This record gives sequence, structure tokens and C-alpha cells, in this order.
Amino acid sequence: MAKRSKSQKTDPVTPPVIELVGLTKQYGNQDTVVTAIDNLNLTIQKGEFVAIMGPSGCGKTTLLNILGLLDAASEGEYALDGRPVVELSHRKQAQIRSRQIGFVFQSFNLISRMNVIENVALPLTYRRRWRHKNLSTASKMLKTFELQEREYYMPNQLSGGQLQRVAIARALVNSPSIILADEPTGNLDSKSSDLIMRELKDIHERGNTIVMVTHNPDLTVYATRIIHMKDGRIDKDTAKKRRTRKTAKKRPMNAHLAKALETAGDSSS
Amino acid sequence: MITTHIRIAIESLRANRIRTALTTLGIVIGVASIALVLALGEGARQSVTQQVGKLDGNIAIIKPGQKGFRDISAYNPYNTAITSTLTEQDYKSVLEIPDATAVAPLMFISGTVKNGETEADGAPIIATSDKLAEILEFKLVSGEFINDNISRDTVAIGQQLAIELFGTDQSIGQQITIKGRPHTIVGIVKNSRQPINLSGVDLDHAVYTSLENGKSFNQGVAQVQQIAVKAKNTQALQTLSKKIDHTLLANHENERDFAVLAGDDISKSADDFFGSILLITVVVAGVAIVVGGIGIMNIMLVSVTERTREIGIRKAVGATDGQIVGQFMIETLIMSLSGGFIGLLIAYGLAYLIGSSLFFSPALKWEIIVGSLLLALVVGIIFGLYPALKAARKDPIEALRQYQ
Repeated sequence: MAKRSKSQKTDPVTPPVIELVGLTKQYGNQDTVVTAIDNLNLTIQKGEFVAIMGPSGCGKTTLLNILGLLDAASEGEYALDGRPVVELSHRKQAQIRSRQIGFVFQSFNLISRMNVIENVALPLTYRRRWRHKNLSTASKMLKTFELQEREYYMPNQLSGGQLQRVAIARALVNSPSIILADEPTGNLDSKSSDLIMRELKDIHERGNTIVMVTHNPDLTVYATRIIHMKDGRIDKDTAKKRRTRKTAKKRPMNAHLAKALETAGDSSS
Repeated sequence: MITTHIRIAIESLRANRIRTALTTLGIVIGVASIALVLALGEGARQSVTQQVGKLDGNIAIIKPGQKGFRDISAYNPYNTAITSTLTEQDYKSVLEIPDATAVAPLMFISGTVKNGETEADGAPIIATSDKLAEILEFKLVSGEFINDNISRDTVAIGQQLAIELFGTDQSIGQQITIKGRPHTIVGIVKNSRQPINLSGVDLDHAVYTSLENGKSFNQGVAQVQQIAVKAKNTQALQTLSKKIDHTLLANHENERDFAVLAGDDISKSADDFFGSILLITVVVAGVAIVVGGIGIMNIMLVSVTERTREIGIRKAVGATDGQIVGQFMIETLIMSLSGGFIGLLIAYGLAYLIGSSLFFSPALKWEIIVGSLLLALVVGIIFGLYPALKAARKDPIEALRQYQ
């Protein structure tokens, strides 16, 4: 909370990246209404690394989908970069997805018919550019994830960790300002997930905004802010002190312990 | 952008080769059947027009009735029930026109032709003059054509008829009966190999006798159904037909109840006749391409359902609805257009194969080629649009949730 008000003071001109006011999402109709998100208010500033936690069915994924313009809210307002999204056409929304937002899914969601480099280049194909240019951009991106030797592999020839790195490469290839990650390490072993998380942290340190849904409290160590959700509402919103990369790398266990102590009272996650 | 779409489409079509091939086959068959019918039909029409045209260079035909009257029944020369407005006097008047190199009357007699008990099926009996052989350029297998110097009870018959009645075309001197009266065969006319010709009669099956003899079957009155006139050359034909017109108008007390057909007029009725037959066959063949189109639609709907998740991913990374429509439309169009192209090749292959055993070769007209490809394109658009729109309308959330 303190951080938010501070940044608003120092930079009043830049609107928050994400601003939700009274956001509600309901499924079904009349007798069978299910409220996934209930009158939720949330402001996320540029450069934050937000971890969203909470039990299954608390509305985390729904929230992420709405943030990513894949889903529309039933009620309330959502302003992206200060612009209400209800005013945006379908076409414009698709454009924002292709240029500003990078998705990382738990199940990777790569297209199995296409090889690694084509999957990574996919978001670029929806922009009017030359194919070879797209492929070289994708190739560079794969290199930063140390996958340059896997460019022409098909997704079914890769391990889970490699797949998720490909998926992250795809999410980053169009240099989006917002990364939305839905349990990015949910299907991975601890070694792979550590690698992925460090990469996300890197991305964050380059100034990108990250919103990550996770079940794993260990992962919140990388975040600058932790939001606990319950029944479609924000249960707890904790800003953490910014941790340098050095300490995070050197003392991950201590950080984890500190985090665990911090959230000791909240057993629901 | 469009090249990317095409590449993506080709890749997904290749991923399901057999399915793509079978779906395309529907269009191949549809386009092939339409193009085949058109190529053969148009070829037949052209060859008939040519055959008629071969003669029409310097030949005019006088027919009863009005020139503008063009229904198909009017084309039937056997229709002797209608009393002709042409008379023997008309024939004689035309004979006297100096520019007319050769004039022959055609009187169709209804009756049966028999060799003993063997009956010839529907053999036309034509009472005419010796000039008909000159006008229609008859060649004789043996004997001579009928003429005024020989007995009245003589006939010349078509080669095909001779074979039918006697089992051989060497039947000079044999007897046949026309309406029970015996006649001696003096000549066999060689097969013309023209199914349709100037006078619209099956010449290979015809019996020719003199006009005098013909009159005796009709209480001594000549019922002239047609008069064929030959001019010196093509240039002379126009003036000749004007002269004929003039002469006959005087004969008929200025009532225009006859028509002088020359040049294109002669082939016109054959043209119209073929045109309407062609139209009917094309409509029937058109059913095949509609079935092909339904096949495409069916497969594309399956494909859209199968690739729901892919659609979801593409939308999540920024594909607009229009781009999704484009992707699926291009897939459909690749199938329908390549199907159209293959169908066209098959159609012409078959057309030449079939044409080689017929009396004409298929027409290779650009209208048929462009038309067939256009048809394939239109079928692709019509039957591809619904599946493509269905794909674009998929909710990305639902789509991503599939198979998870």
C-alpha cells in the first residue's frame, strides 16, 4: 500500500498500468449465478511483480483472463494504461493482446503442429511484418532462454521445463509491457521451476509488469506484492520491500523463510 | 501477412493429407463433370454448326413458315402433319432463276420401307430431284442417283439403310417396297457421317425417289417441305436469296409464309437446340459441385472443432477475428481452387478421350476454363464462410480450456 501511494505521488502523470474498480464477474443466469469475482478493486503500477494466491475457485484465473482481455467483466471498470477497455473494439483488444500483453499458461499452450521457433514467432505473425524478420526475432528470444539448439524441434520432443521456457519466450517475443502468468511452474519439477522463476524475475527487473497466479508460496519470494484472494475478493494485499537480485540469488532459503514467517497467519493458501 | 496465412493453411492441410485429398476430391468431381459436359457439349455444338456451315457457304434453304419462328418442334423435319405452304409451283419458279446453279425440292413422304418382311425403322422417304446429290455433295458407293432418265419406280438409298435391310451395301437391283409398292434400287449413297445436316434429316437412312413418284403417293400433289438452292459462290448467295424471296413473294400474293435461310440462319435452329440440351446437362452436373461444397463445409466444421484450442491460443497471442476467418477461408480456398484446377485437367483429359471416339473434338474455350475456376472459387467462399466465422466467434477462454 505504501509503495503504491508513493509511486502515485512521484509520478502523477503516468496512469497505473491496471486499474480495476468494482470489478465483478458472474457466470450463469438468474437461479444459477456463480460469482467468480465480487466487487474487486485493484491498482497495479508499472514495474510491479504481483503474485496472486488463493484456493482453487477463488477467481484468480478469471481475474487473469479479464486482465488479459480474453474475458469481459460483468460489472465494474477496468482501465488498461488509463483507457477503459469497454471502449475498445474487438480488433483493438486483439491488437493490445498482440503488442502489450504476454501470456504464460500452466499448460504451455503451444501449437503442437508447429515447431519451436514458429510457436515463438506466433504473436509476431499477427503484425504486418516479414516472416524472416519474425523468425530472427524469435531466434534471438530463444537464445536468451538457451534454447537456440531446439529451434526446429516439435513441442512433443521437449521436456516440460523446456516447453515452459518456449512458452515464456513466446510471451516475451513481442516485448510486452505486461506479463500474465497462470501458474507458470505448476507442471514443473523444482529445478525447472526455479529456472523459470529466475527468468521471470529477470524480466521484471528489466522494468516489465508481471502478474502471476500461483499456488506455491515458495514462488512469492520473487514478487514485490502478494495478493491473497478468497471468494472473488481480495483477502490480503501485502507489498514487500524490494529485494535486490543479489540477495534473492544468494539466499533463496532465507528469503523463503522470511516470507513464510510473514504469511504465517494466513493458512488458507 | 497473407503469405503467412497461406503457409499456415498449407501446413495444416498437409497435416491431414488423406482428409484434405478426399475433401478436394468432391470439388474435383464437381468441376470435372461440369467442365466435361461444357467442353463436350460446346464441341458438339461447334462441330454441328461447322458441318451445317460447310454447306451453307453457297446454299440457301427455303422453308415454310416464318423466319423468326424458332421453337424446337419447328426443327423437326419429319413433322409432315403440318401442311407446307410451299408448292411445286414455287419449286418451278425458283428453277427459273438464272443464278440458281442447282435447285432441289424436298418432299417428305410418311410411310414404311420394307424388304419383304424386314421393315426399316423410321427411314425418311424423300422425293426430290437429281440436283440434291449435287447440292449435298453426295458420293455413291455404287450405282447412280435417281434422275429423270430412268424409270419412276426407282430409288437410291443411304448406305446404312442398305445394310439394315439387306445386310450389305451391295444391293443394287434389289427390290424394296414403299407403302406396299415395289421399287428397284439403282444407287447406294455413301454415309455422310454427319448426324445433323442442312436439311435436318438422317441422310444415311434415307430413301430417295423422284418428285413425280413422290406425288403419286399424295394424290398427285407435291407437298414440298423444303427447297434447297445452290448459288454459284458465297458472294452470289445474298443476291440469290433476295431474288428467291422476291419471286416467292409474288407467288404467294405478298404473304410471307415462307423463309429463305442462308448462312448463319441455317445453323441457328441447330444451335438453339444444342444450347437447351447443354443447359439441362450443366444443371445436372452442377449438383455434383454442390455436394462437393457441402463436403468441404463438413470437413472444415470438423477441423474447426478439432482445432478449438489452437484458435484459443492464436486469439490469446493477438489474432483478430478477421485473421482467424482469413486463416480458415484460405484453407478452404486452397482446397476448392486446387480441386477446380485438377478437375479441369481431368475434364479435358476425359473430354479428349471421349471425343476421339465421337465425331467431334471437345471445345477448348477460355470461358469454360475461367468459368470452372471461378465456380470452384465461389463454392469455396460460400461453403467455407460459415466454418470460418464459427472459428472466429469461439470464445478464447472456452477454447483454451478444451482438453485441459
